Amino acid sequence: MDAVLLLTVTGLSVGALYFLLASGLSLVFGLMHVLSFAHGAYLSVCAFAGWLVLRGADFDAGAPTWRYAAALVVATAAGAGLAYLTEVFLIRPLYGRDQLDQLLVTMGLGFILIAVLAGVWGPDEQAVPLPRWVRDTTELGGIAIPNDRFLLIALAALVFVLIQLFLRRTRHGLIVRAGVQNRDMVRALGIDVRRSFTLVFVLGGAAAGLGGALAATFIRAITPHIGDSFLLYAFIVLVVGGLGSLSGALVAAVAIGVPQQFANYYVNPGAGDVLAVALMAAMLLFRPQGLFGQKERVV
Amino acid sequence: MTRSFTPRRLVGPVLLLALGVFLACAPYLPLKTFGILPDALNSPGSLQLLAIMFTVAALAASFDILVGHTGLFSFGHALFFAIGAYGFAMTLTLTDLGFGPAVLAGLGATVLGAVAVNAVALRASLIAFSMVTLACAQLASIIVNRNYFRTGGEEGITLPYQKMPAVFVGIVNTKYTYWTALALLAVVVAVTVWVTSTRLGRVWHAIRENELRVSVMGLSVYWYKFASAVFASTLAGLCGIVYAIVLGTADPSVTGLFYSLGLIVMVILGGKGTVWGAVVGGLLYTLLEQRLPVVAQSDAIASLPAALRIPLSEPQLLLGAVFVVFIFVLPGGLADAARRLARRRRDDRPRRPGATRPAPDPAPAAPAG
Repeated sequence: MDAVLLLTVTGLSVGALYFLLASGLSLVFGLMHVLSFAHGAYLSVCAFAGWLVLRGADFDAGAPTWRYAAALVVATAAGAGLAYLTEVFLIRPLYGRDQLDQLLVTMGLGFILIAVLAGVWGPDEQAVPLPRWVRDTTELGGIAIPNDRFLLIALAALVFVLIQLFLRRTRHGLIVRAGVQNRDMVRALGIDVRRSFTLVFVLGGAAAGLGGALAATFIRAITPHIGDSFLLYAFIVLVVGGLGSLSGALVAAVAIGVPQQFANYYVNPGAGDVLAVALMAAMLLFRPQGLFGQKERVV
Repeated sequence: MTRSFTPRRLVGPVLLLALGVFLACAPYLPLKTFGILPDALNSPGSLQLLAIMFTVAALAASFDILVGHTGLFSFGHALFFAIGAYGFAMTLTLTDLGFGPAVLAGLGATVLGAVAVNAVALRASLIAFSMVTLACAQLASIIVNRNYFRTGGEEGITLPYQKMPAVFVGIVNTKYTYWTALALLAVVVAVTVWVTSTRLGRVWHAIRENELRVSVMGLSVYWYKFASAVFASTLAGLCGIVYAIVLGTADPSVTGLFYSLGLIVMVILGGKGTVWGAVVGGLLYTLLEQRLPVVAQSDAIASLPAALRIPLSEPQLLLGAVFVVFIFVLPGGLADAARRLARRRRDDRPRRPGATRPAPDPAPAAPAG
C-alpha cells in the first residue's frame, strides 16, 4: 500500500514532465500542422542552461535557495529564446513548402543542438546540485515522498492554468483556438495566424525549457540525450490525447505516466515503456483522433 | 515508345560496370586512400569500413522505396534492419540449426514483423503513420536494450565463430565479408530499380503524387502501400543479416531512434526518389560518421581552437548542419543537383553523339534554388 501512493505521486510527476513537452507540441501541431522534433533537444539544452546556473553551488554550505529558482527562470527563458530563433530563422522561411520540410528542419536542429552539447560538455553525466528542501522528503500518509515530485506537479499544473488563461482570456488565445478548429476560415477573415503561431511556438519552447530544468531536478543528473526519451513519450501523449488539444495532453500525460510507473515497479523494469507504446497503438486502432482530438483534423 | 540507340546511352552502364569491377577487385589493390579510409584500399580496416558503407547504402536504397517512391514517411525503418540482424544472430547463437537456416530465420522473422507492423501502421495516415512506426521501433529498442527474450542487452549478440562458415571468420577473410556486402548492394539496387519500373512501381508513384486519385481509379491504396512497405522491410532485413555478418555482432544501436532518423538524413541528402541518391547519401553519411571522430582525434585537429575542433569531432553536428542547409537550398538532394547540372551542360553544348560527359561530382558547384 505504501508503494501505491509513492508510485502514484512519481507517476504524476513524470506525467508532469511529459505534459510540459507535449503541451507546446500539441498547440503547435494543432495550429500549423508542424510537428517539431527539436523540442527534445530544447529540453536538453535548457537542462544544461539550468545546470550552468547551479554548477558549483554548494547548498549544504549555505548557497542561497534563490539560485535554484534562478535556474528554473533561466531554463524557461532559454527555451523561449531558442524557440523564437527557430521559428524566425528556420520554420518561417519554409511556409508554403511541404509540411514535411518543417519537420525535417526541426529534426536537423535537434541533431545539431545535441551534438553541440556533447561536443562542449562531453557525453557523460553531470551531477546537478540541488537545495536541501528539494532533496528532502515529506511525510504523507505515513510514507516519505521526495519534495521534488510535488514541485514538478505544482509547476506543471501552474503551466496548464497559465496556458488555459492565455487561450481563454486573450485575443491571441482566441485566434489560436479558432485556428486549431479551422485555420483556413480564420485566415479568410483576414487574421494573420502566423503571428499567433510564433507566440505559441515560443510558449511551447518555454514550457519545454522549464521541463528541462525540472527533468534535471527529477533525475538529479543530466546528459545531452536527456530529452530524447521525454520527446518520445511526449509524442505518445500527443497521439493519445489528441493533437491540438491541451486538455487531452494533460489527461494523456497522467494516463501514460502513472500506469508506466506501476508496470515498471510491479511487472518488470521496462514493462511500463512497452505499456505506453501499446496504449498508443490501441488508441490509433480504435480511436485514431485521440481522446480529445477532432475527427476530421486527424494528423 | 522505343528510343533510338545511341552510343550516349551506353555511357552509364559502361561506367557502372567499370565501377563494379573496380570495387570487386579492391581487395587486391593496395592503393593509397589519403586518410579517407583508415589505411590502403586493400587493408582489412578499409575493406571493413567499405563493407559497412555498402550495407548501410543498401538499407538507404530500401528505405527510399518507402519515402521516395511511395511517399510513406516511416520513422522506424531500422526496426526491420534490427529484426533481420537479431533474428539471424539469435537463431545462430541459441540453436544448432547452422548458418543457412539462421539466415532464413532472420528473413522469415523480418517478413512476419513487417506484415504485423505495417498492417497496423498503415491504418494511420501521414504523420500518424510516422509516429506509429517510430513507436514500434522504440518498442524494439526497449526490448533489445533491456535484454528481454535473450537479446543480449546493451552488449548485443556476438556471433559464435564456431557456427559461422570459415570464410566469414577472422581478419584474413575480411575480403569475403566485403564481397558479400558489395553483392548485397548490387542486388538491392538492381531489385529496387527493377520493381520501381514495373506496373507495381508506377502505382506506388501515383500514390505518392495523389493518393485520392489512385483510390478513385479503383485501386486499393492500402494493399499497394502494404506491398511497398513489406517489400522494403524485407530488403532491410536482408541488409540487417549482412550487417551482423560484417560486424560479427548484432549491434543494439541500430534499434535506436537516431538510427532511423539517420536514414532519413541519408535519403534527403542524396535525393529521395532516385536509387543513386539514396545510395550516395548512405555512403557519404556512413563515411562521415565513421571517419570524422577518428580524424578529430589526430594531433592536427586537437590543437585547433574549440570553435573548430568541436564541429569536427561531432559528426552529428556537421551532418545536421548540412542537412538543414540542404532542406533550404537543395530540397532534391545531390541527385537533383546532379540532374540540373547535367541538363545545363547539355543545353550549353551542341549535341554530338558520344561527346557528352557523365554527370560530374555535383557537390561543389551545386546551383542554388
